[in-house]
Amino acid sequence: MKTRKATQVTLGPRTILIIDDDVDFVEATSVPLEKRGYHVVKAYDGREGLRLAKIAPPDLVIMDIMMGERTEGFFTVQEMRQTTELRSVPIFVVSSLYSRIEEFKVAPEREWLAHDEFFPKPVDTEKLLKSIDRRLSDDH
Amino acid sequence: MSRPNVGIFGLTGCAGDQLVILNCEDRFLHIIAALNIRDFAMASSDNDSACDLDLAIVEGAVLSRRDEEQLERIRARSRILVAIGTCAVWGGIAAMDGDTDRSQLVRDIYGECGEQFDTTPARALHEIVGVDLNISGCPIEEEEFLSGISNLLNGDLPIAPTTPVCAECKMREYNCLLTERVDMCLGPLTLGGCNARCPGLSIGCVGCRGPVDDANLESVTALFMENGFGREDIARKLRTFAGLRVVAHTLSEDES
Amino acid sequence: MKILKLEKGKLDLFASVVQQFGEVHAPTEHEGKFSFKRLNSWSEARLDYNRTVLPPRKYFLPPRETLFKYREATGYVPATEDLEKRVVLFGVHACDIHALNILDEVFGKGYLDPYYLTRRKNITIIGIDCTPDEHCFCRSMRADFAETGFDLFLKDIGDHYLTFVGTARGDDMVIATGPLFSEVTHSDIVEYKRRSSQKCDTFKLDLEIRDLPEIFELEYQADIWEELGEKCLSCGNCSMVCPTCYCYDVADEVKLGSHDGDRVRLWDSCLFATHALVAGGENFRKTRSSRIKFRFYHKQRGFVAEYGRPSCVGCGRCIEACPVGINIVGVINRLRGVEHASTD
Repeated sequence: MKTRKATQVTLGPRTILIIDDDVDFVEATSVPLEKRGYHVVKAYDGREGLRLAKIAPPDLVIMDIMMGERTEGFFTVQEMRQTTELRSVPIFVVSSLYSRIEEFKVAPEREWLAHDEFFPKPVDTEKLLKSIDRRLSDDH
Repeated sequence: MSRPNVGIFGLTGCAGDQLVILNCEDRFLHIIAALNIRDFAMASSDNDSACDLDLAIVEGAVLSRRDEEQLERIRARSRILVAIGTCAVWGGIAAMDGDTDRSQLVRDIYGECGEQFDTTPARALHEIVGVDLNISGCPIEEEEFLSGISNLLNGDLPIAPTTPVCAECKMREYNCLLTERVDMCLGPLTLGGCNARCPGLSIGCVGCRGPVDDANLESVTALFMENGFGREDIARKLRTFAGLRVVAHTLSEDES
Repeated sequence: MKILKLEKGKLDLFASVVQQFGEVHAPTEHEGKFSFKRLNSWSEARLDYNRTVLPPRKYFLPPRETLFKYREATGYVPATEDLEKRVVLFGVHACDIHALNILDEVFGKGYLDPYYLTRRKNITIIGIDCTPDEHCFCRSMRADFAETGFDLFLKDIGDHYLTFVGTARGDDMVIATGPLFSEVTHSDIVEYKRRSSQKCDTFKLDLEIRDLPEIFELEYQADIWEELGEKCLSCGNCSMVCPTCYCYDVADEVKLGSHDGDRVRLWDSCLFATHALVAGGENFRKTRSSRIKFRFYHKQRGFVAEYGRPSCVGCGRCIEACPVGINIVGVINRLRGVEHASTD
């Protein structure tokens, strides 16, 4: 028996999923987002974030790299891109990985990380919010 | 064979195999489109019990003279006879106890009034009539049944599974219950086609699909005894679905 | 060959860079057994494994694959959707790399198998060295060091991995990872040599294979084959887990109510009763003893005649998988007349 896929509801507020184990960052970022009228869903590790994203695909994901495991974010991003319903959800990566690990001066190339934009931590909140607004107003 | 006349019957059994056919749900429409089902007592009240059939599908074991007569009538009116389910192919659960004298058994259970019952030792279909195709299983696998019928309709010999459950288990990288857990898993002896569903859930294979070609009973029995299981337990496990008498009879036939 | 070194503590960072070359699969553990699976996080990887249940062969020659579909409306359509998938196998042992090189001989020469070869092109191999356990005999089978067939190979020298670059793609991976790799020093080389010679002494199983083909020829009628035939269950486990077994069956699956169908390829085994059954009903290897004899002969003699080396790599999987304990090393030693050798 075929299961019916939930149709994408385009009415109502856009949903943003924040995946980061840094509670302060999650709070600091969700307040301005909610003020702007976005519905914010919070997850504090990759597995939980993925589970929530699969239940209700968000309109945009803000993902940290270094969580419980140093490279947790990499694997979570890859898994999202492997999941059909999440393949085209924009992923904004935030990370202090490149400043915290001196020798790891690798640029987070788009094809590599399969992300849409990258914001090094500490994050310029204004810039992040502007990008989110621009990104979510583009697609209807 | 365009739109053959088909009959689907059940002798003595749980009717689970006929239920699998009905449970094909969205594909059941394909079945009715491809087959002209004329006689199917479980699913229809408008049955023709006399017409000639191109294909007869029979489940259940023969446990009475009535079963025997019905089977012979079915065989007489059908071109092709397909036995479905482990009961029809091997005798199944009813054939578990082949040693006890039948009349003694009836007396023990029913007392004197047992004498009026029409009951015979359980037999597989091929012990009474010629069978053209066997699809075993408890119950049968939906896919195997559908592809068997597909092949028949196309004029091909159906491709029956011939590999043991062990192979399917390994292909799925399930933990081996024989080497890891010292279990009485009948995987190496049992006909595959079920995708090793039970070992995949950490339950030892109980052999519900009957024995595979060239099953090495002696070696497996020796292995179980080495692992501390008694002969009685082993015998009981082995004959649950395919009464030892039938298995032994069939294995010795292959050696000739 | 370019050789660099990578700090062990930075392996997770390297693994994340490597993701740009494909989905990362590595050995993961489940109830004490290992198997190659896609990683959900780096901590799932168990690079200290002894052997996986199924060898890396399962990626290149899957247990079941659709070769093509035929549709009345459109004709024959090759089934190639998943062939292009890029995968990185992280942590492949030398014996399994040798096994893939052996399969390359079979599927990559003469009649080229496009399914196998496309996958071979799209799957990256990062090798890693290992510690032999009581079932390993790769050294006897000359499969304990891999010179070729990998993109990168990691060799443990304590706090670092010496990284041998085998292909241009391996080079790309090293370049993409950047400053995490450093130059090899003289003391690293000394340490590598020390560990390498130490490993050679840790093998518990030993087998002389040089005159094995002749001995197999001479012992064609030996009693041992009948004995094994009585023990063997014909379950096929040894073939399923073998990194070099490649026998397959081909079947057509027709959809009910139409003439559409799929042609599929499935793993087969010479141990199965119907393996040598041909049209007309003749079975060339009807008895169990003839089938198990065939398997040994093919691995250690027949393959040698055709390809110049045995197709057994000494990984020990068949020893671990056999429910009745038939042990290839024991069998061969008995054939040789090694004293007190038992077959299990």
